[in-house]
Amino acid sequence: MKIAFPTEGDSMNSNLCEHFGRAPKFLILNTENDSHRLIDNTHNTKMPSGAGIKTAEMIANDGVTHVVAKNCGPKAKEVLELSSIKVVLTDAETLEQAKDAVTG
Amino acid sequence: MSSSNDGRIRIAVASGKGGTGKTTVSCNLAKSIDSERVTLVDCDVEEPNVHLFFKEKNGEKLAVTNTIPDIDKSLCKKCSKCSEFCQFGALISIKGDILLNKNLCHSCGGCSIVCPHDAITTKARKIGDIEIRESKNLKLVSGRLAIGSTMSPAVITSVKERSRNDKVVIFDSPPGTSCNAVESMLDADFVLLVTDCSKFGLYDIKLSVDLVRNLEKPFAILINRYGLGDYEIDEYCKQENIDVIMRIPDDIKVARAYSKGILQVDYDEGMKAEFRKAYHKIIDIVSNPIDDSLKDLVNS
Repeated sequence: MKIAFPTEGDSMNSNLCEHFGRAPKFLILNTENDSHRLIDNTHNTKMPSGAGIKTAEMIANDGVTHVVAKNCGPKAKEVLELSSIKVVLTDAETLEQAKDAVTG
Repeated sequence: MSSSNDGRIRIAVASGKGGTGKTTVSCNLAKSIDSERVTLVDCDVEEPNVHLFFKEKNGEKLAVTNTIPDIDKSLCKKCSKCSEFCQFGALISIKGDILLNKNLCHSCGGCSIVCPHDAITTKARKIGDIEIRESKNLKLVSGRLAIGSTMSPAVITSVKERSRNDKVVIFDSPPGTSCNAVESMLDADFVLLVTDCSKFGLYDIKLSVDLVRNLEKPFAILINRYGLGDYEIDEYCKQENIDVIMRIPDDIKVARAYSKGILQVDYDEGMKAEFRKAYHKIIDIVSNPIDDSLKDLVNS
């Protein structure tokens, strides 16, 4: 699985961001080899509207299989689901805890 | 503000809080003007209701359309230039496939211009309807946003366009200070702000006053259902040097008549004269603009 987490930090111990479209970055976790990398989202956070959609577009083009978030707007969710990405909502605090929502 | 309008006048009847009586006032005002043929424009396209008070039969119906992109998949080379260009997120590129969200499209036409393969043309999309009902003394223009559409300001622009050449125009604005309300006030020579004596009314009218001052429109306040609540609105108007052009007393008879689609001016000659007086006061203010700073001097 390739899981995308919206965050303001840079590790699995960081907190899950409240937002999806206006999250400053995403941590992409590859569960096969436990590696992760960060992708910047600041260019989308600056948009007056449609930030969620543009962020979803970026995530979808990255080859991600799952998104775990606290919130995700309906338009962004639609884009992700059209790309066969599973969207999981959670109220977990950290990315490590949020990961459990997907891996179970 | 122009000092000479050739007798032409465009009045927007607006409010902060909804339910203060904008439609009641705009309809009564329109019907009280005997000297000219009046055009009444219902700019509350999300919830038009002016037509409920007039017996003028069904009139000319027109569709309001905007344009959305039409992508020819056989010409599309999946370069994503269109989705990169779109400011509104209406076009997105998922692994080269271009997806269009019609409701987010603002019809700028930019995507068809930036496409290097001429794969994008534009097609019309219905966003609303206009109906024009006419009688000897009144022309009623109603706009209605299509279900599922979000482009209210575009429909309001089209509705207003139908009154462009008319002499005396009253716009029934949507409530509040959003894009819809702003669009309905843009072409007005004067804004009549309707409020009541409630705390909500006072809070919201302050937002409206801020808006009309930003738009630099001459304006005045009409207090409807006067007496039901408190008199803080009078204090506020005095402090802010705002003209209160009319106070309509709270009266259950008005509500009973309203529920039957009957206006106050239909049965109360005294009230009809009051509305006519308010109309002439507005004409006077627009024809003889007085500087705000001068107003302070005059009132001190």
